[in-house]
Amino acid sequence: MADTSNVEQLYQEALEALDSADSPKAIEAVKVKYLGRKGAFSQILKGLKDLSIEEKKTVGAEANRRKREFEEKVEGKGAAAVTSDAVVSKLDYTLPGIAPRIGRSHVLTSTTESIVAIFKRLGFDVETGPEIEKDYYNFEALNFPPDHPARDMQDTFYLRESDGLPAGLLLRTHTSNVQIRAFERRTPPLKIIAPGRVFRHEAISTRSYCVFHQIEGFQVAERVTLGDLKGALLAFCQEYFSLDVKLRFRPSFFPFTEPSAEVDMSCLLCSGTGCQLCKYDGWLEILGCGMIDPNVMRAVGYDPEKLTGYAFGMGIERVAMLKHRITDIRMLYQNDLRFLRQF
Amino acid sequence: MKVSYNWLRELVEVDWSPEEMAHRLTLAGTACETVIDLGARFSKMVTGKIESVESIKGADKLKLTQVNVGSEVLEIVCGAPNVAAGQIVPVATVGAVMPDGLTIGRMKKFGVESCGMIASAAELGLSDDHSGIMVFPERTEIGRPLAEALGLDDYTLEFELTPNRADSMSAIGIARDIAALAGKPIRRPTVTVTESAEKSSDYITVEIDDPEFCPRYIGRVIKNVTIGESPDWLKSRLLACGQTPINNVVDITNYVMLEFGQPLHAFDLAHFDTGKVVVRRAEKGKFTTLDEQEREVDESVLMITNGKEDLAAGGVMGGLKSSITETTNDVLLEGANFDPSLIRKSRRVLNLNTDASQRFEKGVDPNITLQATDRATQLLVEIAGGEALSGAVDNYARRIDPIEVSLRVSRMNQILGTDLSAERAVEIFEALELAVIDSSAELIKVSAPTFRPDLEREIDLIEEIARIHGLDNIPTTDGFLAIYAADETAVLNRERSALRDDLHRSLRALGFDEIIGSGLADERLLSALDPELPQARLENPISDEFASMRNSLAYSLLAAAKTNVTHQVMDVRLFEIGNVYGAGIGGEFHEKSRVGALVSGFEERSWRSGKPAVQDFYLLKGALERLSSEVRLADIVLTPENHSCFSQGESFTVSVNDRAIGRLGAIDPAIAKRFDIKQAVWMAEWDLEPYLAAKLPDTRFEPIPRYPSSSRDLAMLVSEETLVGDMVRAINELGGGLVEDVEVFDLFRGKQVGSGQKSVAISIRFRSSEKSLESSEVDGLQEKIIDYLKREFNAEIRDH
Repeated sequence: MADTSNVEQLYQEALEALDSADSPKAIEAVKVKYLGRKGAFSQILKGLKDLSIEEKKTVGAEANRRKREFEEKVEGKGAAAVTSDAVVSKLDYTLPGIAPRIGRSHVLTSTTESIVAIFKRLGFDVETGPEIEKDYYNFEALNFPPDHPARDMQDTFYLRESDGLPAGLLLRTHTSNVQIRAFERRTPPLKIIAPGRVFRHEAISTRSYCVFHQIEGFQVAERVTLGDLKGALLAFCQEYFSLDVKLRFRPSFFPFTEPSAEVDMSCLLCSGTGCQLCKYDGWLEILGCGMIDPNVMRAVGYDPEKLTGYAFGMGIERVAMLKHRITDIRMLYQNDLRFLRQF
Repeated sequence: MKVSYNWLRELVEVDWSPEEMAHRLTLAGTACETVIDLGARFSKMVTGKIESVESIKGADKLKLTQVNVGSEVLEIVCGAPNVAAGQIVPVATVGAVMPDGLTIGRMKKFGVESCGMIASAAELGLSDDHSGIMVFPERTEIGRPLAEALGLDDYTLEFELTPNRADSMSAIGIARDIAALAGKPIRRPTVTVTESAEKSSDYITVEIDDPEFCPRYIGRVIKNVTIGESPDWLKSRLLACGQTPINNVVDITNYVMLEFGQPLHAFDLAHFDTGKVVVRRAEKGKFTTLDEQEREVDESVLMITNGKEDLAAGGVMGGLKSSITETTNDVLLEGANFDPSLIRKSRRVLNLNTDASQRFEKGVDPNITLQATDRATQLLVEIAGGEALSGAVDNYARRIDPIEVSLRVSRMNQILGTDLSAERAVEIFEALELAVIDSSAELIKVSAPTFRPDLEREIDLIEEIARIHGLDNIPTTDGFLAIYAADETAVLNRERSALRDDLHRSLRALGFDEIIGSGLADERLLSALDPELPQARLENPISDEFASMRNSLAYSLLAAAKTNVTHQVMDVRLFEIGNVYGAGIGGEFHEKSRVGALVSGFEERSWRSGKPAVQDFYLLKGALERLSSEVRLADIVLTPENHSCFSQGESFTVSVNDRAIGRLGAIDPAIAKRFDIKQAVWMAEWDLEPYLAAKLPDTRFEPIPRYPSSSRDLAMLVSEETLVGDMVRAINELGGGLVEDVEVFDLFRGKQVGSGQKSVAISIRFRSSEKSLESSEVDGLQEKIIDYLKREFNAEIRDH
């Protein structure tokens, strides 16, 4: 009763089954069902023994031909899938992995660290200075005249005199006090970078806070020039922000440097064509700097005829906010983990 | 300071756009950050001629007009009572935006379409005149942009000047920089006064009590002035400089102040019937200024008096009583010079910051006084029809002369890193109107004019060269790459900062997130935490929340915990390394660095861990122990001791090397509540310096054990009071060097062990560095240990 039409029917059925097999697993099942030791083709070939020699020949040849053809199709559909070492996960590898949580650095710390790392590479030593400071270190030695407006109660926090706290202490308004403290203790040549917290008597808003951080940098040696200052700042900004950043130096005024300048950097987003970040100016104000005033040198007993130097100061909050597009400075002091863990 | 762009272009002939002018000045240190287009608000507004006026059916008040605006004729519906054919009027065309925000569009009214609006002066924001549409003189050009027709096609340049630049507080001062940058001359106004025969000195004399504070005082009398409105050109110029026109006399003094930088004041001469002006210090009392405010005065205010009565607060503001009124006939014009630091004090005492005080505070040129006074006199004659009496009464009590300053060309190039020639420097000085007295290839002597009080030293001249030559034109060099040998401080700093970095990294590795507190703190909360601990309070806080300085990190850590718990982030592990402050807290500097860590809520959960554990004492203790071992610092030791912020019995002192350096404990729930925290909080804080000083010596290599170890487990019952740590220490001692490690691997309480008891399971690892230990030796040691634990700790051995 078995003629070649049975073989043909089986072959078509097997093809359909293979066609609808859409995973390695399903292909494997089809393979077992039709080509396995107890599979459909084997059954037909086993059944040949009941047939006449003539039939054995025709049906057998046909069954073997179709079996080989089907084997090729199965191979073709998923060579890897039908081999015995098929990559089938025994695990639900989509479940979340398990690892202890690692805490994060505050974004101000990581910003400070990356800035400091660059200056360290350029040969700067790291120094720090006190936050509660005497007028002398914050103002006087830095060439602020006695009635300079920065000394106003509107700009500077003063500490209340009380048992143990002498009169006249203030919260430093900049990290420039580290210049004086370092100059007193150390002998040039020197290159120093000094990060730290500073305080200003300012109304709190999205752009300003009564506390912030600065990084002070300075170099004092024989023959240090304004050109060297420009070089140092360009080297830093290129490494920290972008290799094709451009700097612009605008003459400005600080009591402790002369000439003084404010430095603008070509906008990080638009490279100078104008966008929302730079308020369509093309430039972002990034730091203040200048050549250390001869009066500052004299105050610490350096000979300004022999030694020259530059100094610069940069707001860390400003840099972090630019880099991460943080829109409200207050978030940096709220310590909300939903914010801190973003960095 | 605001200056009119048109004015600056009158003073120096340049074809720079307003933006270019602002930019060039900014790059020369005369910072101009804002340019306001005054004509912009009149965009899409033109002059137009009303050709016809017809009535509209159904509307009594509205008229249909045909208005010729030059390029076309518009149909406009107008309701003004004064509208008439032939008038030339301001027309807001479709798309124009009125000052009140209304955008002009096409509008259908009574079947006719109106294509614009004829405006009143009030609708244009020019005056309060609502009575009808504004009408221009007959010969006004038709179709002219309205800004031009109004003389308001100007720009305001707003300057943010640095405090050293006294010279640029005027139009001529700014023009001087423009002239230097453009290489062009300044076209100054010609000052000529037509005088009458009568002399000013017939009416007044000037006495100056203290020339230190008032080096110069000039009075000029101008009689028979007609007080009235200023001409349009003067009004629009003042407006472009941000000044509100008041009357011709006041406007003229303001104009000349803007022009020369010399504040002037006009008194009603009637108040000087004593025949004299006396400049003297004020007595403590009250004085009513022009703005009708009664203000406190003391000896730091200089008073302009008639010898009897106080009439003006010198250099800050005139008095109400002697001010110009509509009935004023004769004017005493004051041009004076005051000492900058005195004015700084006066305006603080008066609590008043005026255009005059701002200029005097920076320093006004004492040698411009006469010219500026004459200039104002000239305008009072020309504009207010006054009669200028002959001569000025000029008491120049303390002469201030230009000083000589020298520049060494080599020094200039040494500071700037340039190779500029003496010729270039001379060129810049002359362009800035600094008289060059003498110059050679190396030395240039300059007479620093009195309008530049900031030029006293060689470095000041170098700065002038830098800013006019252009900082961007100074070459960038690489002297910053020089590497200097480390000194002792550098080495010490590096070691300390490396340790601090290690500590930071290890805390993060232990799962602590870093916070940064502001350092400023709420005095009351600090007192709640540590009533006895001194605080550094601020003399001038901005608010109660920031009235003191934190004297513990607990404050900042709890504040941060509060922020998070309030936002439903309940499980926190926080740390901070930062300063705390207070009298004597840190010796000389009243500040010191601390490390603080806080845990609260549960440990992190995963799908495999099941119920997470509470972050408690043991987690915090473990973190501290691990921290010390990771950073290789001496072990932290805890001793029970009460601290005010912690719950009793859950409070410890933290020590290293037998020195107390901090505290650890569970925050007293009453205190936690003040931070809005209801769950248990454990925290520790300790001093950074002594902690880092407990650095262990460099690791010395130890041979890796050659012989095997054997372990023995012990389970025992001990009373609740027994300290497991004491047993561990005893086991170590009993081992005689053969106990390598003691691990507590299980601890439980409950019904099975009975109340007041706990079950402790300990695993002891024995090893000798000399041989393999025989099992009998280990058994012997174990017996010895068991005996000891039974005897000394009443331990009931359950299993071994």
